[in-house]
Amino acid sequence: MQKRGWILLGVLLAQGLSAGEISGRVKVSTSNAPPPVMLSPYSRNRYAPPGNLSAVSQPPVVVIYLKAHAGLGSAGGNYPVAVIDQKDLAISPRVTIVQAGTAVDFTNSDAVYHNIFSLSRTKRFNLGRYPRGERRSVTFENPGTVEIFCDIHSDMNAVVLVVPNTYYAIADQDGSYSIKSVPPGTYTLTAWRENQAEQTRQVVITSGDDHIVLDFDL
Amino acid sequence: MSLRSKIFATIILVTMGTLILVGVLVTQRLTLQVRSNLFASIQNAADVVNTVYDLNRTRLIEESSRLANDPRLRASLATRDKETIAETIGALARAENAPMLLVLSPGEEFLAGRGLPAEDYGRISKAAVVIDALNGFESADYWLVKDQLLVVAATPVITGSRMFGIIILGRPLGENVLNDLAGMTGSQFALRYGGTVHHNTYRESRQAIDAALASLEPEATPMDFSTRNMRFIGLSQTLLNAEDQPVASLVIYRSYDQELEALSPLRTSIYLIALGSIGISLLASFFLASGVTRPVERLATSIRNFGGGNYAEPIEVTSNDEVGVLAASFEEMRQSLLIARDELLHAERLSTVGRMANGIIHDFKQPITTIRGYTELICAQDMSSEKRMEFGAMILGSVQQMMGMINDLLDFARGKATLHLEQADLNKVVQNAVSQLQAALAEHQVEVNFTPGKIDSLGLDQLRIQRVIENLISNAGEAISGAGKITLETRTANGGVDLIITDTGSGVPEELRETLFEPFVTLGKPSGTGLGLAVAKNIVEEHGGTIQFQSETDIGSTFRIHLPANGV
Repeated sequence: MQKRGWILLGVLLAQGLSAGEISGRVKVSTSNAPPPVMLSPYSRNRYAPPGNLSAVSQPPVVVIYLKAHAGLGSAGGNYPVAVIDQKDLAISPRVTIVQAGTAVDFTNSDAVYHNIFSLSRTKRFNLGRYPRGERRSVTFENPGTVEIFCDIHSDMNAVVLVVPNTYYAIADQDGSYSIKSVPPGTYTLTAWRENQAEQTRQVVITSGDDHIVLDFDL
Repeated sequence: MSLRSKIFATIILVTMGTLILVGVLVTQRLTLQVRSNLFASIQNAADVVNTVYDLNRTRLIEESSRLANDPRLRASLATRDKETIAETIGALARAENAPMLLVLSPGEEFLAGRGLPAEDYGRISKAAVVIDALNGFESADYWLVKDQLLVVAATPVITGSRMFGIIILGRPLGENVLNDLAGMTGSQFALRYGGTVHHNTYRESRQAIDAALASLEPEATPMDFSTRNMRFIGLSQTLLNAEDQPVASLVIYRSYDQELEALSPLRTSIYLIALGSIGISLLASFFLASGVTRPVERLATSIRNFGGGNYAEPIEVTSNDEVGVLAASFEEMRQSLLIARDELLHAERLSTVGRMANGIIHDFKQPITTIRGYTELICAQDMSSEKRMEFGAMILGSVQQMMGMINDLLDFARGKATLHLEQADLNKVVQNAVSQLQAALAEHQVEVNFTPGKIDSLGLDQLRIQRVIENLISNAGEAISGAGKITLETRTANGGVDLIITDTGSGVPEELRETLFEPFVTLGKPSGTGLGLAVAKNIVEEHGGTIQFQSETDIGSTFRIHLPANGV
């Protein structure tokens, strides 16, 4: 190896040696499930039942991440294109997590037209109507939550969480998470759960040996 | 007032009374019918109103549902960004032309909207529709917002597992709905809330009607109210909100005057029919009355004649009813009376004859005494034939006197004298009478003058007329005390002959003037029966003539006999 390489290795080792870990458990309450609805005949008959009702039985997706910080680097580089499909009058996957700068392809696999749009401040866009087989792309540069809807079918919706860096973890089924190799610094740890406001905590990593355990109640 | 008029009047009065009563009753009944029809119409309208309200609310709920399904609304709610939400709501409200459009978060926090004053934001979460929406019910309610009555519907914005929020849509309950209702039912509608009348479908006199309506109490049954010159019937329905609080009242009413006007052609018909009926009854009663009263009138006339002494006319019995019975009774009475009268006359005559016989027997005394005296003298003595003739004449004179009395009596008893009429010259008869008495009267210084006039021959019973004239002259002579004059005169007059006898006597005493020609009326003469003038009147009247007199006390009397030209 060249000298530059050794220095890089050394730096890397040093970084790795001085990286902390943040882990914990997230307890998810189910108290804010929507009530059983008596829809009017109008709304009941107009559309087919939403395709992702099955999601009710699934536990919500929880993501723990660190807000943007100069020391954490930004998510640059090429990331693979994520694909979000519209099929059976539903958008899937329901929750997509991408790093800032990722491009997402929206494909229409249904026999009907769809019109994907979002009014979220993070990324406001409207792909217009396009038929089956077509795909249109959106690049999410800014971190944040993007709520996605179909302008034609009011029960179709999905969410894209754009994380600012690589320091994020998706909670397990039992709620445990772990973010490794966090360089020392003061950060804002955010617990994100779909359909809900985020919860944030301040976290300080002083040295590579720090292991911070933080639990959230969402 | 005659019987006919009374019957007439009774029929008219009864007819009019009945017609008026019927008219009044019918009009009243009709008015009641109109009222009850009005009531029914208004009640029907009230039912329609409820249906319309329900439809209205359902429509609004559906509209609200539709809005809740709008992807843009959901997308904006999902961002939880007030600015984004406000922008979307503003655009939606404009597009829908909704006066009020609100969205709340799932935690009932006011997010954005328009049409509601800011001070009310905090109260929304307690509203019934919101609570229902949170429980998954779509419902509608009535809200008073900025002095306007709105129908309000709330819908939860939900998809599958996710509740985005609550949308509240409000539209005014106002003019259009009421106009539709008025068109459908034909009644008038007025919406009252906040103390004033806000909408009124009635076209004219709004102010007056609004004022009248404002004071109307809510009543479940129709009632009367009026402005100064219009009358209405209406009821007031209270509008309750979801908490059963009254928010407004709807007055459903109709014009009473208008409905009654529809009756007026009927009323006119009734009046015309009434007038016609009165006319017909006038005619009918006219003929009817005659039918009833004519027999009565006839009977009355017969009885009047009867009462006047004319018993000769029979009384007709023309019907079987009470009038007929009355007529038959009167006829029986008439016949009885006729018989009774004849009997009475006969009896009277007999009694008169009796009296007369009495008088005559009394009066015969003197001539019989005279006859006896002279006869005795003639039988007792010898005397010269002149003396005998003289005495004989005296005897004859007395005999004649008695004969005269007997004839008078006979004439009177017989009742009517049977005349022997012959065509004769009255002057001759007068002259005979004068001759008979002239000499005797001259001895008493009474002058008798006769001036015969130019007269035609008449049908006369000479003997009897002569006796009448002799009677009159004799009376005239007795009336003169001392010297005097008797003048007789005949002349043609009135298709007959007048005989006038004037004396210068003491006149007929006043107390006898009325009854002079009645039998037994005497001046107190010793040789009179009092029948002379009665018989004279009888005889003159049998001739078809008349006898009258004029008399002045101490100056004299004038007797006038008129005899008609009875051709024989």
